[in-house]
Amino acid sequence: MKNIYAIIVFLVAGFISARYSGIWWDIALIGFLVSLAFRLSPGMAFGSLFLGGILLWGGITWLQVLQSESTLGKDLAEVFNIGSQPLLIIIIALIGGLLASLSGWSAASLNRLIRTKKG
Amino acid sequence: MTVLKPGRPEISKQYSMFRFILSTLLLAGMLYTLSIRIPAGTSSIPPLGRLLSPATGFIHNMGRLPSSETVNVNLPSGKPVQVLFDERMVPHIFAEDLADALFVQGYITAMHRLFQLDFSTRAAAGRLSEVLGARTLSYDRAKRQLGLHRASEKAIARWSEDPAEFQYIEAYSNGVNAWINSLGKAEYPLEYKILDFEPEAWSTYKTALFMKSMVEMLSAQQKDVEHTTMRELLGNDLFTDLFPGRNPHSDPVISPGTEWGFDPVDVPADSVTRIDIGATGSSEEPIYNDVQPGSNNWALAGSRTKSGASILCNDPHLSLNLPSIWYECHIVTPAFNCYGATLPGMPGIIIGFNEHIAWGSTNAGHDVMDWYQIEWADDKQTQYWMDGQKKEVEMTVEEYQIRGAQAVRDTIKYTVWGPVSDEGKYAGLAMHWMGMESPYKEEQSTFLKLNQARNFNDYMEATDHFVSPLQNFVFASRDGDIAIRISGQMPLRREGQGVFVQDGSKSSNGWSGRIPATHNPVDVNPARGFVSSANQVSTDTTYPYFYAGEPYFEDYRGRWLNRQLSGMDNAVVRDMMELQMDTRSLRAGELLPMFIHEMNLRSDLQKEEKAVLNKLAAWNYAYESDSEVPIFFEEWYKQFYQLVWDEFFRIRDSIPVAWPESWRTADLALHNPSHPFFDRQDTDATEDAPELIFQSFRMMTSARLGEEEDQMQTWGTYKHTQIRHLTRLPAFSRYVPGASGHGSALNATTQTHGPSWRMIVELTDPVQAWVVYPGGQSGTPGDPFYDNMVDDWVKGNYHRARFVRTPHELDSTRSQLTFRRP
Repeated sequence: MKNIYAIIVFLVAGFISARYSGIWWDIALIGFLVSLAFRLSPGMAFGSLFLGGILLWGGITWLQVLQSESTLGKDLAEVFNIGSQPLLIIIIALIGGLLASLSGWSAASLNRLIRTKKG
Repeated sequence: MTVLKPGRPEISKQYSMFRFILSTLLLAGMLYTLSIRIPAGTSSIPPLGRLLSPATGFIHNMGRLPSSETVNVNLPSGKPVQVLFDERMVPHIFAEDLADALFVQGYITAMHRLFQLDFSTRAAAGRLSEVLGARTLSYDRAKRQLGLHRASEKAIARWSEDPAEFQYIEAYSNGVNAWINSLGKAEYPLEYKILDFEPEAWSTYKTALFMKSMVEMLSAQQKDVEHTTMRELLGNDLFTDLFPGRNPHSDPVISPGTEWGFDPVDVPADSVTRIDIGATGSSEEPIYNDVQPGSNNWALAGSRTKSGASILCNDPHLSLNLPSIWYECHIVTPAFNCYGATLPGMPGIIIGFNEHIAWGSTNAGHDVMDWYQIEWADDKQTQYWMDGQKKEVEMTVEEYQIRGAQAVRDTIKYTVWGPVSDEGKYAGLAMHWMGMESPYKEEQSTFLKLNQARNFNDYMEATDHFVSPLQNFVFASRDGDIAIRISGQMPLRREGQGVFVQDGSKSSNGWSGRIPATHNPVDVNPARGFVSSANQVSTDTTYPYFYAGEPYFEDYRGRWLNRQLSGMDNAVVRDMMELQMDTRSLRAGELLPMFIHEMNLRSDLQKEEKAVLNKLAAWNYAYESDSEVPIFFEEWYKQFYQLVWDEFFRIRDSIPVAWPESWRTADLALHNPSHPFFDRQDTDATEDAPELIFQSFRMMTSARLGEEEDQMQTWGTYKHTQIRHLTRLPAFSRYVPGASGHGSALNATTQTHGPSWRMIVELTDPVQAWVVYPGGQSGTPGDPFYDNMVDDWVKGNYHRARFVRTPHELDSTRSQLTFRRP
C-alpha cells in the first residue's frame, strides 16, 4: 500500500512541478524525495518509481499531444528519425521511468546505508 | 527465524554502500548524458533532458493563445491597447498612440517570431559562432568583414539625433524585450532547446542590424573582379561586346520618353583608368542555372480597371523560409489605419496600404558596391598610397567568441574606401559600399511615414530620405494617382565607373558625391495608364547620370509584365491574381523559337527526338509544375550554354569568370552564328551556332530519354522548391513540388526563392486587399499557423485582408489580448 501512496504523491508533485518549476530534472529530485519520505525499500523504490516516471512523463506528453493542434511531436519524431509520434512518447516515458527509478533507488539505498551504519 | 552469522552486518554494509554508489553513479550518468549536446557527425544531438522533459521541453511549444487575456506591460503612453488575432492569426492592433502600437507590434512579433529575430541579427553581426561553434566562423568573419555591425552603429548614431522619431524604434525594441522578459525558460522557442542557447535582449542596434542585413541581401552583389578578369582575358572590345551592360531590348521602369525636369549636376569628364589585377580563384555558378532573385510591382490607373479605382500589386521574390521573412500585421490608431507585411525586427509596415494609399517595392538592382586595388606603402600593410602621400591603415581587432573553443582574434584593415578583404578573389582589395554610408537621420521614418501617407506628396516626402537598398517604390492612391520612384542614394559616377576594380591610390576614383534625391527617376501618372517594375533597368538612355546593374538588370519579367499590362483594360482583381501567378517566360519565348527554327532545318532526327521537339514546339512557355516540357528546354539551353561558353568553363576553377547573359547569348547566336565562341575547343571541326543547337539538343534528349519511366520528373520535382526552416532541419521545412514558376516568369518561384508576399490592393472606398505568403504567422514548428498558407500560396489562392476600422467589425477572432500598464 505504501508504494501506491508513494506513486500518487510522486505523480501529484511531478505534475505540479512540470507546470511551474522549469527544471528539466525535477523528476529525479521528486523521485529521490518521495523514496526517502516513504522509506521505500530499494527494490520497491525502483519498481514503483519506474512506473510512476513512465506515467508522469509519458502521461503529460501524451495528454499534451492529444489536446494540441500542433504537429510538433510528429515533426520531432522525424527530426530524431524515430518514425512515429507514439514511439517518441514511449521513449520519453521510458526516460522518465528510468530517471525516477534510479533516483528512487539511490535514495532508498542511501536510506539503507544510513540505517545499516546505525545498526 | 534467520540467525545472522557473525560478520554478516559488515557484508551488508559493504553491499549497501556498493548499491548506493552504483545507483547514484547511474543516476548521475544519466542526468549528465541528458544535459549535454552529443556530437553526431557535422551536427549534434541536443540536450535531450531539456527538450523532452514535460517541465521544460517541447510540449511547452505546443500551446495556443488564450481566447482572452490582459497583458501588463510598461506601455509608452499608458493608454490600453487592444489586439485581436483573426482566423489566420493576423494581429489587428488598436492603439491610441503610435508609440504604444509599435511597442505592441514588437511584443507580438517576438511572441510569434523570437528565434527568427534573435538568430537573424546574431547572423548579421557575425556572432553565430558564439552559439553554434566553429562551423560558422567563416560565415561570421565574412559578415564582420562586410561591416554590418559598424554600419549599424553609424545608423543608430544618426537616427538618435532625432529623438522624436527614434522613440518609435525604442518603443518597438522595448516591446520585444517585454515579451522576452515575460518568458520562463520552459517557454523559450523550440529552436533554443534544440540548439541549446538562450535568447538575448533586443535593442535599437539590433533593428539597425536587421535593416543592414536587408541592405546586404539586396545591394551587395556585384561582379567587379569578374569583369576585370574578363577584360584582361578578352580585351576591351570583346568584353564590351559580350557584356554590354544595357540590354537594348529592355523596357525600363520609368516610361521611355519621360522628361526629367532638372539640370543634372556636373560629373568629372575624365575617363576611368584601366588597371589589371590578375585575380585567381574559382568562379560562381553560371547564370543559366537560375535567375537572380527579384520582385514585381505595378499599379494600374483607374482608366484601366473595371471599378475605376486604381489597383496596386506587389510580390517581392525573396528567400523562401519558415518562418517567413514577412509577418502580416494591421495597425490602427486615431491618426491612421494601415495593413500589410512587416519585417520582424523593424517597426511599422513595410509593404502595405492604408485608407488612402497603397505602396510596394522591388529592388532597383543598381551597383552600389565598388572595389579598389590598394597600393601598399610598406610590407606590413600598415600604410597605403593615396594621391602620392602615405596614409595610415585603421586597424580594428575583431574578436570571435566560439562555443566550445577558444576565442579567435582577427584584424580588419580599413582604408578611406572601406575594409580591405583577405578572402579569395577579393584578397587585397578595399570595398566601398553604399550600405556602409552614414544614413540621413530621417531614414528611420521612411516606412512609418508611408504608413501614414495620404497622397502623392506624402509618398514623395516619405521616400525622399531613404538611403539603401535602392528600391522601386510603387504607389497608388484613392484619389487616382499612380507613381513609381527609384528611391535611395545613388552614387554620382563617371561613365563606366564601378564596373571594374579601380585604382585605389587616387581619390579621384571615388564617387563624385550622390545624385540629388530630387533627380532620382520618378514616373507619375504616365499616359500608358500603369507603372511597373521587375528589377529591370531603371530608365531609357536619356537619363543624364551613369549607373550600372548589380551586376545585371533583369531582362525578361519587366518586358513581359509591361506587355501584359499594356493589353489590359477593365482589369479586375482576378486578372491581377492571374498575372502574379503567370508562369510563362519570355526567356523561353525568345530562345526556343530560334532553337526550333534551326532544328526544323535538320533532316537527320530520330523518331524519339522528333517527338520531344514536337512537345517543345507545342509548349506555351509556361513553367507548370506538372509538365515535363520545361525540363527539356532548360536542359537543352544548359547544354547549349556550356558548349557556347566552353572556353570559360575550362578555366572556371582557376579564374573568376563572369558569365554572359542569356539574352546576349541568344543575340549572338541569332546575329553572329559563326562567332569564334561557337567553335568548340574540344573538337577538330569548326562549329557554328546552329550546329551547337543541334548537338546540345541531342545531348539533352539522350540524357532525358534514357531515364526510367518511373523516374520521369516533372518541372515541380526537377525545380525542387523548398521552404526551409532557419535551422535547415527537413522536418521543419516544406518541400513543395506543386509550386510552378521560373525565375524569368512573373511567378518567379525557384528552388529557394520566390514570391514571398503576394499583395493586391484595390483602392476603392473602402480599400480592399488580397494577400498570401508561403508560410504562416507563427514561427513555432508544428503550430497550426506555422505553414498554414503554404498550400494556398502554391495553388494561387489569396486571403482577403480584414481591413477594418474598429475591433467590433472583426467577425471572427482566435484570441484577444488587452495591453495595459500594471
